[in-house]
Amino acid sequence: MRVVRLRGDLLVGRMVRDADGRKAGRIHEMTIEPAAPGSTEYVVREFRLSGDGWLEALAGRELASALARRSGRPNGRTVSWEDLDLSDPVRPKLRRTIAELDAARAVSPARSPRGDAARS
Amino acid sequence: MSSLDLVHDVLDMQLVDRAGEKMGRVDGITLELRDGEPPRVAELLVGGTVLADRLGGWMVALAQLFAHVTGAKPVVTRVPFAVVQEISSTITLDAQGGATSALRTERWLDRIICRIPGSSDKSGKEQK
Amino acid sequence: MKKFGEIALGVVTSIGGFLEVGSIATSAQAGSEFGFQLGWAVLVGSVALMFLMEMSGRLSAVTTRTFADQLRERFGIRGFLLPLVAVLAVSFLVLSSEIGGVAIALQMATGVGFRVWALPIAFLGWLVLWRGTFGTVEKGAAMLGLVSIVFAIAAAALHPRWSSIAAGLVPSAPAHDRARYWYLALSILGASISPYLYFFYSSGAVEDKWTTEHLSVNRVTASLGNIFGGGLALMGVVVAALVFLPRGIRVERYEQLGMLLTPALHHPGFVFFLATLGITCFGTTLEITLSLAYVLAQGLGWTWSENLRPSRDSRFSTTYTITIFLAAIPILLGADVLKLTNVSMVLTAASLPLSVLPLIVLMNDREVMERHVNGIAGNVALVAIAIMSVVLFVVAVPLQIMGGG
Repeated sequence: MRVVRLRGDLLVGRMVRDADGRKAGRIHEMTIEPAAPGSTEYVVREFRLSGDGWLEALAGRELASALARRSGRPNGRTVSWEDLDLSDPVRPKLRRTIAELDAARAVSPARSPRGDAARS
Repeated sequence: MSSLDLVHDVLDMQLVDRAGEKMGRVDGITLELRDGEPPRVAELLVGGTVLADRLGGWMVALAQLFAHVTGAKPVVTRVPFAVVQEISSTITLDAQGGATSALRTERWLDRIICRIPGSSDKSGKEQK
Repeated sequence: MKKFGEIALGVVTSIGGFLEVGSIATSAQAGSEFGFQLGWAVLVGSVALMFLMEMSGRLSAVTTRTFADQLRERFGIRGFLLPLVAVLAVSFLVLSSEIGGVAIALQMATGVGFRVWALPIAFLGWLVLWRGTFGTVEKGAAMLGLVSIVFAIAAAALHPRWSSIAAGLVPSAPAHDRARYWYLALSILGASISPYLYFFYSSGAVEDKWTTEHLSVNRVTASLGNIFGGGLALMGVVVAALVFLPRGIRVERYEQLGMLLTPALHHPGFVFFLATLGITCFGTTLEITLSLAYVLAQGLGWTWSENLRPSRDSRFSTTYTITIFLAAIPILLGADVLKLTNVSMVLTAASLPLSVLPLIVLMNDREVMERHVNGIAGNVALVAIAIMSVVLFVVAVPLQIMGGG
């Protein structure tokens, strides 16, 4: 099995394009979970993409991520790990088109567990 | 700990060791891509050069210049994710800070500072 | 009862710590050129600072983390870098000015040129930080700073028309020198609302291990401390207005301020002025030095505390050591302290958006603040301050060019 290492933090802010080359949004968050119940190994389940609006461009992606998180992601989409092709980390690609992705989401509502780790 | 957000809950968070001593912040994260499996969170990275990578080319160049001028070797500390014990308002590691490379500069400076009078006295300061 | 003691101490500390080289210089210039007319700038500055300090104190009491911690953690290194560089650069200039203030006071007291005093002052400051605790700096220096109350005494002794002073608290257009007037207003705001202040206050809350139980102490300290402290700065304007304006004296060098308190208090007035200048600037030197080291250490995740032996937080203690000696160099080289003060005040005012805007996000984030998020009043104040800070940013350079005499 081929194993490739990359910098996860550098993925933040990278534009993701779909199978047709259309812009799908920029990565602004990655949700991780134990690989299996009780496992100490954590894996990335989902990537959250932000819109490519003026706020992101003006305020920087991390600030926009903070704001998006607070307002409940008004204009982003969630992508499962299977749908994201990171063979070229600088140019992440969706394995499907945006239309296919959104249609699939509409049928089975996204499971997007927010971080519920204790943050008191 | 169940599900977490990498950017919000892990990146840039304060690392502390078993004794509660600060060990720097999570400056970077290594993901491991495997065919047909979800990407694994492999390591947490600590270091000035790691930080510079996030700031762009000019910062990297600046960091390299600094290293060249001062002769300091940039230290990158790699913390396997399995070492993470708890993630809350800080990230606690099941490790001893002094034993890792994360506190190398701190310890090096400590050896110099110890020679300055008054640096290790109690004189009203808390014992730590 | 214990809480009352804490509050009293906090208020006294804030009053004693309010005046420093910037507020003394800007108040004196404003009074000597425009009488009581710029009183409103002192009022606006004090009120704005009150809100910002209360909020940074509340942030730290609720989260037990500092403002700098939150900036790095919430906005990442990219969102943190610009505020960091701005705070470090601007605070450094103010720090140099403060050292200059002490040096000038010593020059006026001894006749020995101010340049000679630069390194000894830095050394003394370093020694206090090296050997002292946070309590030494916070309380010790500020208590001594209470000598600045002499400004209020001098003002009262000159029997000013209090109604005229009150009139000056309402913004009005100047009869002459418009650019100069607004330039001084900008400088006063920069002198009052200094980011190092609320970064320091936030770090202090964590040094003193504040929790949600300290929220009322925080509110009272931040409000009364800054209102009374601002009142002292206002008295500086009043005294300068009554002493310099009738004589047509325009303040262009610190040495001229030696006669600020003598008409009211005679010879002791001279001594009291030197004591006020020297002590308040020295106290502020300690605060800013610590503040710079705090922000860097916290942003990068180093161990930090003024309550630790220097060898226990070596990067932090090395940082403040290098900082204070580096900041003494411009004074050693003979920089014009008044010009340096004015420029650093203007730059401080211009740099405000970088710390105020993120504060809006933080103070309304329920995950950070839980039920202690800003109410409507707090947000109205904060947005007003934010708008003002953006305006200041825009007009800073033009005003420095047109009005920076």
